[in-house]
Amino acid sequence: MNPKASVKTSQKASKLAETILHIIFIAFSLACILPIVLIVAISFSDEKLLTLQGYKFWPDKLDVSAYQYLFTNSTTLVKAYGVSLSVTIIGTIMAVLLIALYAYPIFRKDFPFKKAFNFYLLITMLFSGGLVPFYLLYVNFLELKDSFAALILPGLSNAFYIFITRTFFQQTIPEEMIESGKLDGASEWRIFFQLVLPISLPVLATVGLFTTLMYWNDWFNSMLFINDTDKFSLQYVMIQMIRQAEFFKNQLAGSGVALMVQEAVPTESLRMAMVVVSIGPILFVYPFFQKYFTKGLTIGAIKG
Amino acid sequence: MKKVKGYGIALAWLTVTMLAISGCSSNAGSTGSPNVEPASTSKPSGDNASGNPDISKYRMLKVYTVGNFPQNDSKEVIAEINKYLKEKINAEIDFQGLPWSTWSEKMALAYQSGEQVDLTFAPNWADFANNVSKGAFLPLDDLLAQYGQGITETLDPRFLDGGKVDDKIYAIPTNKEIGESHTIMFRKDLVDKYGFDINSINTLEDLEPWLQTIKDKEPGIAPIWLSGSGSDTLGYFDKTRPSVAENFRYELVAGAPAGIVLDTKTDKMIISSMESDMAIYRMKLYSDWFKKGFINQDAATTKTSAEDALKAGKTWMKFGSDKPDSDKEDSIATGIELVKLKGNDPEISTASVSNSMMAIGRTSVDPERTMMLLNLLHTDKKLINLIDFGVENRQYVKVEGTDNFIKLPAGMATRADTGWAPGIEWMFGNQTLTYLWEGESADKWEKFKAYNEKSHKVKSFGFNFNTVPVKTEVSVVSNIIKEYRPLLETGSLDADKVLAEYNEKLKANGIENIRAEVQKQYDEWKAKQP
Repeated sequence: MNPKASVKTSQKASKLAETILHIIFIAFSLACILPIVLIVAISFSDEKLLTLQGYKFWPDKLDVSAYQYLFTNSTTLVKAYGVSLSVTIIGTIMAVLLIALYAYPIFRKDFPFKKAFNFYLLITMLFSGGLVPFYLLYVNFLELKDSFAALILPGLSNAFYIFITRTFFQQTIPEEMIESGKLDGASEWRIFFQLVLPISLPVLATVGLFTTLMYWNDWFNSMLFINDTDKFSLQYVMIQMIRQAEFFKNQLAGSGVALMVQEAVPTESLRMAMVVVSIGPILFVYPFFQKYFTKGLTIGAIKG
Repeated sequence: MKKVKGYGIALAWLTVTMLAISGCSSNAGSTGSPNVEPASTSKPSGDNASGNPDISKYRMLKVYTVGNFPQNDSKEVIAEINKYLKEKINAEIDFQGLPWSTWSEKMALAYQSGEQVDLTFAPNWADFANNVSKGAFLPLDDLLAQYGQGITETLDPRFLDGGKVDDKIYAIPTNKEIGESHTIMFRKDLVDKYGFDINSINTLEDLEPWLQTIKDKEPGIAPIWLSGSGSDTLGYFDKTRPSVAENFRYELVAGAPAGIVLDTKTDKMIISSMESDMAIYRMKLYSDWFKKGFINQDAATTKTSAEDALKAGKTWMKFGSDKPDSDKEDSIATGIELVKLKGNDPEISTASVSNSMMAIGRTSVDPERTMMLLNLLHTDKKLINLIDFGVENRQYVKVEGTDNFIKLPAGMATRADTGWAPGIEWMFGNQTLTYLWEGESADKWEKFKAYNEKSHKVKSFGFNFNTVPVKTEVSVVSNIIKEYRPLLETGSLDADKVLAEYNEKLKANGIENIRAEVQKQYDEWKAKQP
């Protein structure tokens, strides 16, 4: 075997490997994209044809009745959009701030109660009171039924994200920076807001994205605490409609009651239209956060 | 530095208080079943012996129910109801209409957290027995005697067994059909086209020539449409030649997994797929029909219910209840004219008298007033129609020259357009006081009466299997049943093969233990019967 040939084979091998990798990734991407395409297609399909022909990636004729119904018939949906948006924006800003504010002191080596606060966090991760106490706390003790606070408060802090943030601080924020800040006469608050936070953007973006998704997708808190239709979040309106069909199938099947209930189950195309409508805004959030993930993780503030 | 210390102390204090709070509330909540003394005598407040209840104090009663909520016009309808209730019993209702999808979770939390619950929909299929044992509802015997005369006068006494637990009444059933019977409905136009005679059908086998005709002459229409283990299985219409000949000797057992039935001849519990000739015969019949192409070929997997398939023109039948005028109701609901087969005689089972009941919560602010409200629901025509159909000339209009017939206002196609169509007619009070839709028979409620009189109690009426001693087996077996039911009930695969496999699995997972336990409880229950 001459060396040339071996180079060739290795090149070939890498070409082959590359092709295989490409195929794998193309397949994977398709597996992610196609379901969404199908959902969009179904949402634009005519309900009768769906029952007759099944699902198609390309509907025979475009039918927007599902969307028409969605936006004309339900004022709730438009309101729910507003609720979801405002809760997500307010909640995310507050949550990121709170998480950073908790993570910062427990990263500081000169903070006396560091251990205690670490431990307290850990406890919340390991044990939870369970659903009923949680519910009682909000409803009877804080009396937050039917209020926006009930949608925002439960997600405000998360032990896991606090640990992530703390670890990030430990890895990227040098002690010397804080020292120099102090020497220059900056207060604790100023050090935190003007020195620490600006170079921690990557972690804030990460946590921010997670909490955004959490708030946007949350329906459970609405289910627990909200009875006023004007305060329903978008996801709750949707889950109600979508779970309706399942409920009839599973809970009532064979109980004789099933035949008495006049189902108002939304049609297939309507359900898919709701899915499309609800993932819309959140799709635009990703590119916004994207830029923080790629840069900055290696940024230092101290000249080597 | 001083500042920092201040914050530290504040935070530490906050931590302590938060721990204390969460500790306290978890103590309060985790006890699960509040130790409520069963109120042997609920003291009526300010009852002045003459039976004239004191209603001078205004009350706001919280009424929980489930249906197609939220409805657009709720506020107006409830306001109208409250206007009326205020002058009647000096109370108003805070109406909590919950959607089907989240109702059970929300109610569980409401009962556990001690929120105010005055009147609540509490059917047997929604954890009723469990809620009673946890003390969620008040016993109603005394209240009923005092403020519910209207109920006792109008309600068939057999109904009251439905809400009884340990000989105390905990819920009042809705006055509707007392028994259950099922039927199959067909498109009237096709029945007429081929000159079929509805009255000639007495058993499933009699249907075969019809099915053959439809299969040959109406391509694209499935003679029988089944979908998985949805609510539309042939099991609803259980008339086969052997079962009619044997006079329906097997009964389902309330609370037990569907695989176990009672053989009324011998009083023994039977595993239907192994020992009941009739059940096995039926599964073989389906399998035979499937082979002949009478059943839609994707029956085991399709998610399209018979109703949707009917609307889309893929089939010509649907299953339904055989209560009076059910064919007319379903014709109105589907927009397709239907005719129904003659079902078997209605049977009163533990489930049928208790599948729609109203209970009064332990946390009610005024049980007496709530009972009065319930009494009104059973006796007051105006109130019940307000709740069921909404406001006159807003949600419906009276048909010219009649007092009892209603129709949709001009320009509205369905009830959903009117802004009040929760579909709760069968949950509230007395159904026989409600208006009739145009097209229903004028004597519908008389028919109901006759239907109720014709109903007979099943042998195990009143027996309820308590699954606790064999909980794990029941959950495993229930899953096996769920998995195999679609296959067995749609005939998609060869019956002999599937049955063998199914029985094998049931045996391996403790069906015998369940059977023994059901038998034991049933014998004990039977010994106690007068």
